[in-house]
Amino acid sequence: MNKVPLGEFEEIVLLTVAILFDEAYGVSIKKEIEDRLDRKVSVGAMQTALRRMEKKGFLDSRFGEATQIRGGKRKRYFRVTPYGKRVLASVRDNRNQLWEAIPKIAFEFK
Amino acid sequence: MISPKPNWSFRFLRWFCHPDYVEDVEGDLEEIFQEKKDRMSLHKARWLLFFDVITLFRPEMIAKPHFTPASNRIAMLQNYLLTTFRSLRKSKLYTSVNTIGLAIGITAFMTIVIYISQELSYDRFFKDHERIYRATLKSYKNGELSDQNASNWIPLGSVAKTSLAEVEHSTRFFKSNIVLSKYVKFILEGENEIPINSEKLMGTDSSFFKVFSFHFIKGNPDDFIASNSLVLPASKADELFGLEWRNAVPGSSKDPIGKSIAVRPSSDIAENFTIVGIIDDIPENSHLIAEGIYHSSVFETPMHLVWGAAGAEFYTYIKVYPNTNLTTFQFKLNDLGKQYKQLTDQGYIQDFTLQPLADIYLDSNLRRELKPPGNRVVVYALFVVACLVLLLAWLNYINLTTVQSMERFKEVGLRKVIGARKIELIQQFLVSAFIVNAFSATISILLLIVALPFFNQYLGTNLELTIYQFGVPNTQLFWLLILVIYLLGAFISGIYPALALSSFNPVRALKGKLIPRMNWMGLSLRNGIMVFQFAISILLVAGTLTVLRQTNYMQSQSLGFDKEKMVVIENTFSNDTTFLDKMEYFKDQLAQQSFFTHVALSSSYPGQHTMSWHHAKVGTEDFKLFTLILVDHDFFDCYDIQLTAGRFFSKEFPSDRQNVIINEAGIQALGYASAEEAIQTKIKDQVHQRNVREIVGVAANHHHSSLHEEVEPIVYLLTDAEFYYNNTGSDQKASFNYNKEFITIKISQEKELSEAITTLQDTWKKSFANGDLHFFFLDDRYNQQYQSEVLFGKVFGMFSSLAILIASLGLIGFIAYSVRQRTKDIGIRKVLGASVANLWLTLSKDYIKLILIACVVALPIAYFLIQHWIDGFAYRTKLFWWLFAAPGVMVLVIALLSVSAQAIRAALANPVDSLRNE
Repeated sequence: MNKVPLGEFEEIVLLTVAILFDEAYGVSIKKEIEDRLDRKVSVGAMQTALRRMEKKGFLDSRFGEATQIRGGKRKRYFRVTPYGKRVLASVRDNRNQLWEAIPKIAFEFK
Repeated sequence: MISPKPNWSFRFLRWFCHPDYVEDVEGDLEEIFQEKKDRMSLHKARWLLFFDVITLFRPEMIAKPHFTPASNRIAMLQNYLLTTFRSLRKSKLYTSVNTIGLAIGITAFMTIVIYISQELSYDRFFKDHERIYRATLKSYKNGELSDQNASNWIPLGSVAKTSLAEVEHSTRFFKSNIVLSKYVKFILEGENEIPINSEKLMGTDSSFFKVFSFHFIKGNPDDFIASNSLVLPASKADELFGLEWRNAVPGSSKDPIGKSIAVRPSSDIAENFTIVGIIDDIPENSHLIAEGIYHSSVFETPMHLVWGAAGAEFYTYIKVYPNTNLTTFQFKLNDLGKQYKQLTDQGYIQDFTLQPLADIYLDSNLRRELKPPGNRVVVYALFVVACLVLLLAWLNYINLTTVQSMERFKEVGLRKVIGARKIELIQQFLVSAFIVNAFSATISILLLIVALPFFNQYLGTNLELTIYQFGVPNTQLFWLLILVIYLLGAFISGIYPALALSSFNPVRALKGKLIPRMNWMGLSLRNGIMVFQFAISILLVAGTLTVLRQTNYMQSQSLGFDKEKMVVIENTFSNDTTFLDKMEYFKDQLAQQSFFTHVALSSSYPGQHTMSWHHAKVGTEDFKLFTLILVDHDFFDCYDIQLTAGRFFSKEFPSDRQNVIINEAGIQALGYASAEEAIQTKIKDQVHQRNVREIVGVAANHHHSSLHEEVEPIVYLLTDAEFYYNNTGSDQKASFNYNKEFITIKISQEKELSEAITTLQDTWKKSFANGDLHFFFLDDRYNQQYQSEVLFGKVFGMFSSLAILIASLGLIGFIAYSVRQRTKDIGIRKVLGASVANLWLTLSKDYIKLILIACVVALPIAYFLIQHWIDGFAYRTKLFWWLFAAPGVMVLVIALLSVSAQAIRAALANPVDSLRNE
């Protein structure tokens, strides 16, 4: 589990899916990221990240309800799999390890 | 409210998107769209949606293409590609020879096409160029053509416009060096000044821009009315005003329009010009050259309607109405000339032959051409050479592929057994032809990009490759041509091998019994191709040798004068009243350094076209055209022109101002029996018949013009000679205006030219009040007349070498295979005792035979063409037999060298190696 194939953007999407829990589908994930992180997300980039992570097994998905505003098309809800959770945790562990390894003096800017 | 969504975006999405994803993605997009369109315009929302769809167009989202398994076309194509690449890789020699040969062929062809298209494009950018004609002046004397002039009498343009209904506009202009000294300055008072060459300063009438459609960057062609209005090309405006004029607001201080420009040294034409317009620079591919165009007052004086009032120095262009019948118009125009007595005096007929504007550069080579003319024959000859080179490259491919594919006969056999139809095999070989040709085309484009600057430098041309600027016609033409060559080449070079190879009998092929040799027809075709290649190579080499020899001959001919170590200074001070004093000082200074052996003043130098007057013996009316050269007492010594009879001008005879020296050609023209007979007889000139002069000496002929022409009759007068300019009335005499235009200095033998020039420059500045020195070397300038032959020789030489290179590449490839196929043969011969020399002969004799056949085919053709070309010169080199033997021998040697390398290697190989494997 040391080498986790998870990019920065993928990590953000994955975390956002976890945040939204039961309400994570395309539009809501996009909005959540845009609101929380104040960055623009293109539909293309996000969709590709979702599909790629689904293929890798970090996410699974189910179809949800259709609404009129969606032109009668169903939503696809995403959920983080246990494997996805482990990947996220390991990324975080790696980060923490690195943070802890930084000598205090390194960040003492005067 | 639900708004209609943009269908095309979704249709695109559905088309490419993976079907598993399409539903929810589409839903998401719709949701976003519906939300956005409340916040912004519907239009904008639609566009944003479209961009979102575009961002989705990436590999992860795209459905994998699936083909129906029923069709195996793609699979077969893949297989063809695979086998092609495999066999290309396997035989590297063949591949590289083939590709390089083709690439060189295409590059050579394209280079020439670029060159030719530039030559053919002259003056075609003028609007309505097909309706614009130049009226040239052809004089017939007693039914015999006596003179052809690019320019015309001053009234013609105006008279034609007023008397002939066909003329829409006409214009006349002259080169200002006839009224100004050659080097003048445009001075923008208090700001800037630039040098102008008055040969490139055109004095026109007011309708110039009605005939020639120049694009005005500033100003308006309609304002070209007042005398001394001036129009500048953009580059000159840049020099004069800096770059800011382009953005200047009309009327502001930076605006060049309306500014006044002074000319210095000033002259009788104008003190000041007023700028009324700035035009685009005249492109390279125009026969007009102008650094400035002004409306000359000459065309507003009564003189502009008097025939013969000024020399025939006026270039006359006529724009006719559409649908004018040219034959009738030409007839009417010539008729016009017959009404004027001045033109028909003394049995003259003067025709105003019309030349279409776009043909002037290539087809016209008259006196007083504006630009050194091109040569249509050369252009077409080069095109033929280019086609031959390309053809050679294609033939190479055919030959090599046919031979090389013998190696693939097992593959072909197997394919046939498995069920390949003939058409499929043909496809397969065509595919490989298309691939190799694609490589070559790509390489040749790269080669072109790399090689064109060198080509330009070597030939002194100015060719441009326009392959990036899409939308420009040249660019489109370039790519179209490349595409055509590619497709045509691939097809031509691929179809024969494809047909030949697909006709194997599979059973024999697989048994290995197929002796890898083509049928009788194939064999003869192959040899035919080789003979053809050799023949073309021989032809081109013979051509190159002749052109080189003729140029060499012309440059090394005894010209009747000395041109080594001669410096000619263009005298910019000839109007200076104290010129002769300054000249004395100048000579003195140089003499102190024993700088020169002679210094002479004259109105012309060899290689320069100068004025010509008609002269006849006194008492006869048989006028002949003579070149008129004004010289000082040192001229003949300086140029080392020999004396045939009488004496040269001498300071002991002050009356020499009225006397004349003529050359031997002149003696002949006037009909004297000998030079001695002519001495002390008198001649007169035609326009002013009171000018009677006594011949005091006869000079030997010298080639004042190039060797393209016969030696012309020449009349020499002293620089201070005077003449009556009225036939009746006052007895006033005038001296010649431009009598000391050139100072020729014969530099001492012991002086190095490089240091001599520095001395010369310093002394000139000291003597002539810091004036600029304009000089050239006589031999350089004289040889420039052969520029087009030198260029032709270089291009011809270059492309013949390429042709030979391609042919020998082909030969090398060809021999490599035939030697490989004969390894057993060679092995057995060796075991039986054949020597290396024997084997070499066995392998080479076929090729020697082919080359001899090629010689027989090529040499008569070469002789015919060369004879034809060389007839165009007045002085031509002899066509020695070796001129024709040498190319044959040369091609033979090159071919044998390529054969020998392979043959000797095969002959030296241990026969055991080749015989062991059965």
